[in-house]
Amino acid sequence: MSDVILKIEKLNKRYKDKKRDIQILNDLDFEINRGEFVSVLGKSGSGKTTFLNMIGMLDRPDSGNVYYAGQNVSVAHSSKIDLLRNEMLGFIFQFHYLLPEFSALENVMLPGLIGKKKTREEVKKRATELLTEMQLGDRLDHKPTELSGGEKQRVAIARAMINEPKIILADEPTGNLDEETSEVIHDLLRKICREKNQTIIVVTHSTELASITDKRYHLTKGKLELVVD
Amino acid sequence: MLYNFGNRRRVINISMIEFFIAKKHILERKRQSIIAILGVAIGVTVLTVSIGIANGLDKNMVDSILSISSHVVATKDGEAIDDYRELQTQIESIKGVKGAVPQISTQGILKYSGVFGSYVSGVKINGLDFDDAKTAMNLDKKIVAGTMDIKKPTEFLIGKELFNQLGAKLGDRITVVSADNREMHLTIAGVFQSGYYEYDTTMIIVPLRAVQILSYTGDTVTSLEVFLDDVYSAEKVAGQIQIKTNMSTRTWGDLNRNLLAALSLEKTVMILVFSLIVIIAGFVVWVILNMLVKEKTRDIGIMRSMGFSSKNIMKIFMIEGLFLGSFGIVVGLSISGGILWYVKDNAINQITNIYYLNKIPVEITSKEILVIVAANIVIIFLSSIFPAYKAAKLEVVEALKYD
Repeated sequence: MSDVILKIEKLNKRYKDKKRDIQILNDLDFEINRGEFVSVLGKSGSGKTTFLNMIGMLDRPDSGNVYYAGQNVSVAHSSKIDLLRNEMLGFIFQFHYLLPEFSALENVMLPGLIGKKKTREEVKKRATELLTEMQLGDRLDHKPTELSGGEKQRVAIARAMINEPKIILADEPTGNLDEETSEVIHDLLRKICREKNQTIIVVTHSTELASITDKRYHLTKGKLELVVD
Repeated sequence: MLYNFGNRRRVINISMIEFFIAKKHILERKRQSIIAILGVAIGVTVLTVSIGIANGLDKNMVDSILSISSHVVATKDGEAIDDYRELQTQIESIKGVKGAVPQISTQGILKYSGVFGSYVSGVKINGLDFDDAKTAMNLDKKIVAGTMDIKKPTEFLIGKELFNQLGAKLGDRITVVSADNREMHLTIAGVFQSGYYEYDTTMIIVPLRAVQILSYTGDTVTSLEVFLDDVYSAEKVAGQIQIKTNMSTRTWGDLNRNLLAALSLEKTVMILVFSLIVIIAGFVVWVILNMLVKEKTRDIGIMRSMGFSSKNIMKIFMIEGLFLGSFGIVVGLSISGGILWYVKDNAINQITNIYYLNKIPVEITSKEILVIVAANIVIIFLSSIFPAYKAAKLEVVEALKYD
């Protein structure tokens, strides 16, 4: 049984302005199986984030196809994409990107409250469980400004997981944290992958983070190359 | 069925989360929210209070003009009317007519010597039947001193301001000189106050018989003064009078056309000018929402990445604009109610002197309040929709990069 959860075919993206015309992604092919933990390495400016935005359907490719569980989403209507993004994907950004007005618990709950058939109570229960798993059970009502960097990033991870997404996309999840805290986040991601059979794609320039993943890719000249140990 | 039910619940959830976020934004930015609410409230207050007082002054003006002057004047184009009793019965049989008063209107000179020395002044002399005047125009209610139950036809009523200028007392005798230089001695029986300064300073009301003698007209009158149950049916009743009696008619509207036109122009200009304040209030909402959208650009990107649709985002900001606006309208209406209530019961001396009022009249209809509210909602809707649309149309990737 094919367990390919995401498949990308001949993805192209170029940025054009008056001075420059840069081909960021060039006929890029990629696929990932359920439960895989994959990292994409690359220099800054190599197009890692663009690649992640394409998979996350935050940005549209110039050409090429993105299939989620066999479904071509690069031609889908934008309202469907919003729904897919909500149900299938969880994002973790370099800078936690929590909403400052909301408590940790509310931040985690937000994606669960969109377009879901779950009640607020159910979402709240699930969010509390997730935060407790992240050792943040005593921080539920704290605002982001009252949390440390590592705590914020753990809240962000809980937020990415609230809808039990097919894939978690992480963009330099530890890029802004010290070594010790990064270690905690790395362990957490690995644990999530192992215990929940969660598919995770990380984009990073940290070789340390890359070393704990199942597969490592290198993004150069708009294409992905598998790094073989 | 089951599917529909699920769908329905989803819709409810969506609107709840948008309210939830909008509420947070409003509460976290208390100062901006308060400024927006105050802006709208001030606009509503200025408009409501000024319309309320202007209406009141207008109504007061109309009321005082009509207090002792008739609603429709029926004449035979200046000819003396001798069959006036018959015409009076005919007119009074028309529906909506409270009463018709045969009247001679003429002018003369009033002479009086009293404590302030001798006094000479031109006056307007209205000769009419006091009994008719009581039933048709409730003249007895306007008497502030003395009585209108006269025993002799040489007793008369005088305007309050004129009475004060003369320094006269009830029962004093005055002399009236007609245009033909005929003199007549009359006794002050009562003092009336119409509320209209012009009348109260220059008018005397004299029994019909006395004026007929003074002006040599025999048993005739110059006009029939018609009073109506509803002053705004004057045009209609005037038409019926013309048909029934073949007399010429003029309504109070015709007679006061300039004044009414001036009042209406004044009110229109006032509403236009104060509407600008409402527009500025809308502008305040626009600026504050725009600021919010700008401040929240990255948060909008984050929300989009969670799966919020552009519609969700638009709704969040529309809810905020409309909530701030509606709250402002409610606050504005409450403040207006308070101000109008205070003004109504607490006369301000300077104003009341100029306008010859005891109290500042206040008059506002629910229709006018509805129009003010509706106009405000439209303006706030327009001021909210553009920032909200801007927020909804943000590119997710660009929004995420925004600092």
